[in-house]
Amino acid sequence: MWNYVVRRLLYTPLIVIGVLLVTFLLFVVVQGDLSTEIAGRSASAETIAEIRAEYGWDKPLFINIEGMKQHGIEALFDSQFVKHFVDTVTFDFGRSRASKQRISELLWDGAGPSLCLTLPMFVGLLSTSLSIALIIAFARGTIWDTILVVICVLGMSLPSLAFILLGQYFLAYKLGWFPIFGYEPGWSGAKFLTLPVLIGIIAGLGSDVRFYRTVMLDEIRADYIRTAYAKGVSTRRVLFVHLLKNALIPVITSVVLAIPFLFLGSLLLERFFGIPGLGYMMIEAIGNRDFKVISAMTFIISVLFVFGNLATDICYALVDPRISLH
Amino acid sequence: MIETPLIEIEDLAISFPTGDDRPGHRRRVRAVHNLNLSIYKKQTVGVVGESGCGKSVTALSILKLVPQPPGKYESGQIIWQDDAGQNCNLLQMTEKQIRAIRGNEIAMIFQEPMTSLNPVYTIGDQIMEAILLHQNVDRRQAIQIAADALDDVGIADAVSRLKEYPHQLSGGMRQRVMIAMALACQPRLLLADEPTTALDVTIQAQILELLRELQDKRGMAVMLITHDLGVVAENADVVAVMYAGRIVEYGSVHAVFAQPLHPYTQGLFNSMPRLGNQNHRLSTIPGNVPNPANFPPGCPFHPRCETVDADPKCSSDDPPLLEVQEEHWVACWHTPGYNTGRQTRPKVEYRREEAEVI
Amino acid sequence: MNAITATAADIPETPTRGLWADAWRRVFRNRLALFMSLIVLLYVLVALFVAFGWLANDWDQSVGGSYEPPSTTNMLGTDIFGLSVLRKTLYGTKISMTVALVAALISLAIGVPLGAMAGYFRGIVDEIIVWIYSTLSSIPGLLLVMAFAFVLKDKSLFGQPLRGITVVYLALGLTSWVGICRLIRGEVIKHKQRDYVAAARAYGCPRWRIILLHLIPNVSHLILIDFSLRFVGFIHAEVILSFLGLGVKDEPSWGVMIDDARLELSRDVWWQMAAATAAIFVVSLALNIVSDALRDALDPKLRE
Ligand SMILES: Nc1ncnc2c1ncn2[C@@H]1O[C@H](COP(=O)(O)OP(=O)(O)OP(=O)(O)O)[C@@H](O)[C@H]1O
Ligand SMILES: [Mg+2]
Repeated sequence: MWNYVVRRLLYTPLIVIGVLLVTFLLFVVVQGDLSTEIAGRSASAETIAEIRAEYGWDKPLFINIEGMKQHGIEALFDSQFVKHFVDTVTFDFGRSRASKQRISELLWDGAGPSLCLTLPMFVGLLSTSLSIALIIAFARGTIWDTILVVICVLGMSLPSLAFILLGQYFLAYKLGWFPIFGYEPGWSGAKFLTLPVLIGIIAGLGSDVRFYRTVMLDEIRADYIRTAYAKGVSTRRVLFVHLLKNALIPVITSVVLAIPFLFLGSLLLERFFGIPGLGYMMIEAIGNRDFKVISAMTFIISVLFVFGNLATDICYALVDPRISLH
Repeated sequence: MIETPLIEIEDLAISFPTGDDRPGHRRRVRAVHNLNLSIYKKQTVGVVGESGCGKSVTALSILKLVPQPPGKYESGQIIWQDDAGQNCNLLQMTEKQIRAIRGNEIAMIFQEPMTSLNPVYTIGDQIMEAILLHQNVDRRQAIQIAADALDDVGIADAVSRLKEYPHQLSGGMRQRVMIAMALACQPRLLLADEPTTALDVTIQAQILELLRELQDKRGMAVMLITHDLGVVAENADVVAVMYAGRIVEYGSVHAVFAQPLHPYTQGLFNSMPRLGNQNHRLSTIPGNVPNPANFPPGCPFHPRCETVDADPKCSSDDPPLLEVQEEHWVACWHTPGYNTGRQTRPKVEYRREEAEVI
Repeated sequence: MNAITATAADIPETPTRGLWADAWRRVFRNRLALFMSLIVLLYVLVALFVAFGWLANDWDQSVGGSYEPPSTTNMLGTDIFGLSVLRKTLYGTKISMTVALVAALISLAIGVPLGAMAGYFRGIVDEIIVWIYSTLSSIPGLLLVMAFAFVLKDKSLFGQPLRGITVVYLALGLTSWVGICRLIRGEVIKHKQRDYVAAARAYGCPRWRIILLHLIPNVSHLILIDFSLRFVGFIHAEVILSFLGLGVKDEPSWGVMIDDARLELSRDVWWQMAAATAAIFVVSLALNIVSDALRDALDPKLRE
């Protein structure tokens, strides 16, 4: 098992470098020089030159041969790629164009509200859908099973935006059960978070329940379940001891797959309910064409995601004794 | 004195839907049809038949393990003689009562040793689960019992093996573990559903030898399901030949092997290679086992039957199982003496002497 | 010896139907799936009619006052500019279908060859391709799509500024080939061991021919299943991108309509929202059911 974990650990830096390359390609190479756009139409050539120097657009992409000729060998690496690399690795992303705040601080401030929204949503979604799936596994082949599957497919077919819009419109605006908009840090913020969390869970339930149901039904037909029954084990123990631990293996994978979708859900939810988290900032940054914020966000979230993946693989190794053989 | 059987299956019928879900096409077919069978204490009953003839369903039904739905018990009862000598119907037991029997009084080992063990628990945990469920012992004693059980099935270094996972064992080892698990609670009846089909030939012989030894030592009864007549010849006291969910021939191993009466049984014998008649080509039974979804009317074997040519009775009436000779039952209209056969429950008390070879 | 195998060996097997013929038979037997395929076909027809200019090409003509509720003249009501919501919805069908189709084609065009190469050549080629897709799949999908769309927006290609819809399908296509690539790679590795590939190699068949004529046809059913599943994802992604201002501009799409509707709901103007949502819902439902049926019919794991 440790072999496997170490191998996964060693692959992680390679992936981080890959992510770095992707952000470089997108936000430096494809994005290109935006100095005229930033400076505005009536800017002088000097202002433009200043901006180009500030963002490093006056430097070559990879290696600076001109610079080396003038300033010696160390100037060879005075390039946009090296600057991007060093900045990103030291988490020095510069300042936001719109608010002039340091981007690393912005991200730090946004993480709290985002977690307040996503964490309850994630835990709620996972436990609800797993319990429903276990109940279905128990009632398989009955009319309840069919009804639930139909509801799941219907839920999967509705776009997440519709869940948010309809939920906010009916539950907050029409019925007035929840505040429409707002955020407060601390426990008093719970009243603002309840509805978005609820909507997030309901929007995700369809596809999750359906997936877990397939997993459970695959497992419940397995031979080892029959063996357990033949030993005289009770149904409850078969479900919670024998089936659940086996089903956890595909569930862990799907949990990782769900994390980006949670980000998607929270992005839109934060926007609609005015929660000042990372998703909200991302949408604002898109509006302001604040590409540094987007680049930094892409990198940071991807790195978090990479480590999340790593954590899952380690969980895998803990749940599945066969993993050491792979 | 007439002995009461340990278990007696009477007129058992189990049906499944055909899987055709179109409206108007939904039908149930019987995977097991009016089946009668008895097993006495310390006896081995061999059940033979082709794939899909209902052997596993019969064994599963004894423990009420036929999945419901889709399966359904249509009729019949299974009379079990419990420890105190009382008779009770297994099929009418509550979930809780049958759980006390499963793995304790009646244990089962399955066809697929590779997948029948839970991959995420150690074999120690899995053997101990049965022990802790049925015996009033603490964990330490349970470990000891489990280790002894492994020892009994010939696994060396039992205590450290308890900590291993199923994937660390070979197929033969896993089947030994399954046997150890089944026998850990000293059951009085063992249902062995093709215990060796998935294994290499040499391992097959070892496992059967082991089963035989343990049976002698423990004095338990065994229902040995197989599709290998050789295995039956070596191990069984009584033979039940199944075809299309019914028993078509029943009798002591001597009677059936000396004079197989049903054309299907004869076909099975002719397709078995034997020493001494190498000049013969192996013959085969023509045709396929009918799918239970479209069993033919009449005798289910008649489309494949070579002995009898086009008799309208065969294709219209299903022959019942009749006792045509002393302790020898058959279900075929064309058996000599069938017309005078008696309709009795198939029961044979015979047990072979030790080391008696046929 | 084993009596039963001896009897079974000489029995001729019932002729096995081809995979595809069998699959069609199964899909046809499933009435619901058949009906749902007809709905998908209807959407495609609407998209084609719009594309040929026979339908809804006058969506930018106003047909009445602002925010008229549904009536017999304007079946789905009007929006703020008095444009017909029905025409906008029909036009949105074209946008959605185009986005999903082109994005799916782009992802197939990248994923299938890369996957086949990785699986066939192994070695360093494989390492590099696996590294690329591991990296891409380490970036949450929506974030990656947004980053692509953000960067591509207002860029030009071959001197032409990119249209909003082009940005959407480029961003979706360029980011979503990982799944199919991984699938094809796995299958090719599996099939490479089979005899027919060895035989083809033995009589000197060139590599590209083996991949194209022997391996790809053998995994085409997986491609189709993946394709039908991805389609729904693309339709939903267009909605989000357009809503975020990274997608379709200057023409109506379902995402743009829902974005408009966000502000209209507080004035009890629900018809634009309802029309767009219903259009998405019905086609997603149909595609979900059809892809389920396809998977049941084609997935060898589920076939007995
Ligand atoms: N869960 C089930 N659902 C539907 N049909 C079933 C089910 N279990 C068994 N059957 C049907 O019952 C029939 C008998 O099956 P069974 O497993 O008893 O055969 P078998 O004699 O044990 O064959 P084998 O030698 O292959 O083990 C089969 O033809 C099958 O169609
Ligand atoms: Mg069987």
